[in-house]
Amino acid sequence: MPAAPHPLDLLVRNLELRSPLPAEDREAVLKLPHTLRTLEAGSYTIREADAPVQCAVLVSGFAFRQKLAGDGSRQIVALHIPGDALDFQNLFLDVSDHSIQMLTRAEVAFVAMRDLQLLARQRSAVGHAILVKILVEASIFREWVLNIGRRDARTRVVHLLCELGVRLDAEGLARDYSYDLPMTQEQLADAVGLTPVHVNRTLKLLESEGLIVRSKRSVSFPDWKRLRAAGDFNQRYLHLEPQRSGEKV
Amino acid sequence: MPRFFFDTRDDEEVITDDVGIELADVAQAKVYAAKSLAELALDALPGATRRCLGVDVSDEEHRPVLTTELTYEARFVE
Repeated sequence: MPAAPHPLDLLVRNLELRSPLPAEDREAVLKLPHTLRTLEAGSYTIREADAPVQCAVLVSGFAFRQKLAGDGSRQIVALHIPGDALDFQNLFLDVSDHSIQMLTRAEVAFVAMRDLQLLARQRSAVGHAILVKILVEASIFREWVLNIGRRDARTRVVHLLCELGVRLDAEGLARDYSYDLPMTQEQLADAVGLTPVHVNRTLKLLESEGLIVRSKRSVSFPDWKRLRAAGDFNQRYLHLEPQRSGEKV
Repeated sequence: MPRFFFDTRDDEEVITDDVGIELADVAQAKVYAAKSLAELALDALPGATRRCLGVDVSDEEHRPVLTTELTYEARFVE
């Protein structure tokens, strides 16, 4: 029987996708003390105005980052997949400016923020890998601003579906870009800044065009090339290759 | 909270909602219908000369409770 996978394996793989680590640095990440917990869908790992004392690492399941407007309406500002460290965005901040919730039932490894801060400062390769990951998260935020601010409903929804497919595929978590879409129409609507009514209509039209196939919660894409074109999707902003810049500085 | 279903119309093309949304009451459903109609218009009207859009709301037993409609017509001034 193979040994149970280490809870932080996916985090290492996630970092090494763009920033390969020397063996001792990889070991240092895996040796981070952590507590593994199972959280139900909807649970929070951090709320706006909380002090970030621990960093949640998603081991399985999906999570989202959200902010609330004064009238209580919600904007989902990012989606997270297994391997993502949910609190790199809070790594050196005193107070969280947003909340993080589980989209599905999820396994989460909690690492003390202090240990992570120390590791980032002491091991430059780990610090570099975390910085690259944070830069890519910023790039994804920029793409979402463009998506929500300037694209029509159909393009917006398709863009989000493409992004999830490509990100999951890069982590080895999707096959042929098809995956279980863990989002309700309301959550999808909050992620693309539309009403659930409009999202419902858009998904049905995409289905009738043959661009997406849904069965229960899984979604697959018969013609990936056509889908990418419909979603104005160019994966450059995901920076999925090893990033060489700064390697020899 | 009761569930409401929102069917959408773009001229003759009707898309039926089989998922629905849980909302406090019909008044809130009316707000949702208006917002959705405005969103549909944003994508449908540019390029159109005449267009009729609608959002029709029904309750959990699929009884109609609200109908909304937006008609658009563009005329160049001679």
